[in-house]
Amino acid sequence: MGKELNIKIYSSPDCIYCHVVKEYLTQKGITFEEIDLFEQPEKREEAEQISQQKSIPVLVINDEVVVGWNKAKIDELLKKYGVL
Amino acid sequence: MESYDLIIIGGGPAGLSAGIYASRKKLKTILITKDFAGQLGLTLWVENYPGFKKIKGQELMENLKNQLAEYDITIKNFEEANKIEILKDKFRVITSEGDYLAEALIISTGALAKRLNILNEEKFIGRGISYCLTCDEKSFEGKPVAIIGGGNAGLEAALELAQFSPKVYLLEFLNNLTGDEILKEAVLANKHIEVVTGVELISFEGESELQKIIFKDRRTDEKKEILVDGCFVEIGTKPHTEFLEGLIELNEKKEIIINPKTMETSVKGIFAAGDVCDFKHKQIILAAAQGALAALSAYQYLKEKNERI
Repeated sequence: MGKELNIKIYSSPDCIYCHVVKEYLTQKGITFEEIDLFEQPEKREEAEQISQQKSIPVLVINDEVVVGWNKAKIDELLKKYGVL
Repeated sequence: MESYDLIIIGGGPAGLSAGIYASRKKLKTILITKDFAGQLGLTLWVENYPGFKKIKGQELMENLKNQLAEYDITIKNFEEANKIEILKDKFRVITSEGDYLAEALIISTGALAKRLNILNEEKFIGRGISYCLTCDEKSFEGKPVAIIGGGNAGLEAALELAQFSPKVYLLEFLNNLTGDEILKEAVLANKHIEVVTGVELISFEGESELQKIIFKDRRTDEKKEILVDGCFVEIGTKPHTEFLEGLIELNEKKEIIINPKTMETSVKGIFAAGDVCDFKHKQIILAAAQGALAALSAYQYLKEKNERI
């Protein structure tokens, strides 16, 4: 049994890699909270503070951060938390 | 091991078109792709694909995916082809998730954005330097930015960013811009865009985030700098063919050499299509057309090889 997961993603509608990450999590049956920076531009600063970067998507898995579409890193974290 | 008539590797316009054509020929087909991003997904607006006056790259990609999904085809997303083996009369494709057999292959793995390979590029990726305009343009709203590359992608990026940024520098190595005339006219007429040609980049500089770009003026050898918060790199692509080295014939740029009449490669039964191939003028419509041609040629090949089809 895996540990409880808290996943959120900072994304934007025109960002292709945001779509790819969301599609990947969805295909794996993993639920996540989405923060749409187009709808909530005031959250961009929060995303930048968390990631220390200006790029999206910012994926946060239990306080661990992955910026961009990095399947290997995402898989590593999902395995660590027992969902892969 | 799952066995198919045809395996298509790659999920861009070439692979998706090949999938549509192969499915309509009732070939037992599987399409394997590491994702559906690609060069088309990274394109903000497409304005030269007949039938669509102006469409987002991502939307065109979704349309192609949805059209393909209407057919009887197996799609494996998030699987990367790592190796191809030639067996007696079949091909074995080994991916990150499994093995598949087929009598014919279409390779349409596209191309990846090139890096500049200059000083401090790695340091500022995500901290000012980006390779994805559609992802990161909003981070630089109201701030000065630079675009590296004076081809179509660079010109389009400059026009896009000029809507949000007070100052957009467009830096090009050559002494002239190389994109379409219609885009060049729009860029040169835009008061927010400053075009600088004959640029040899030296380094990116800043503390924790990008602050300036240092370059040499190739005409005068003078060292110059511009102050920017962001920099988008649009200098073209390199083909995704590492996994094919030693298997099929590649040119000096590592693009697949094809017979343009059939899209067949140097190995009988392996076809290729799209930006991964050796041809001039990489365009979405040409990739899609090559995908169709590759699928029809693969069908013909299989028909001649195997009377059951």
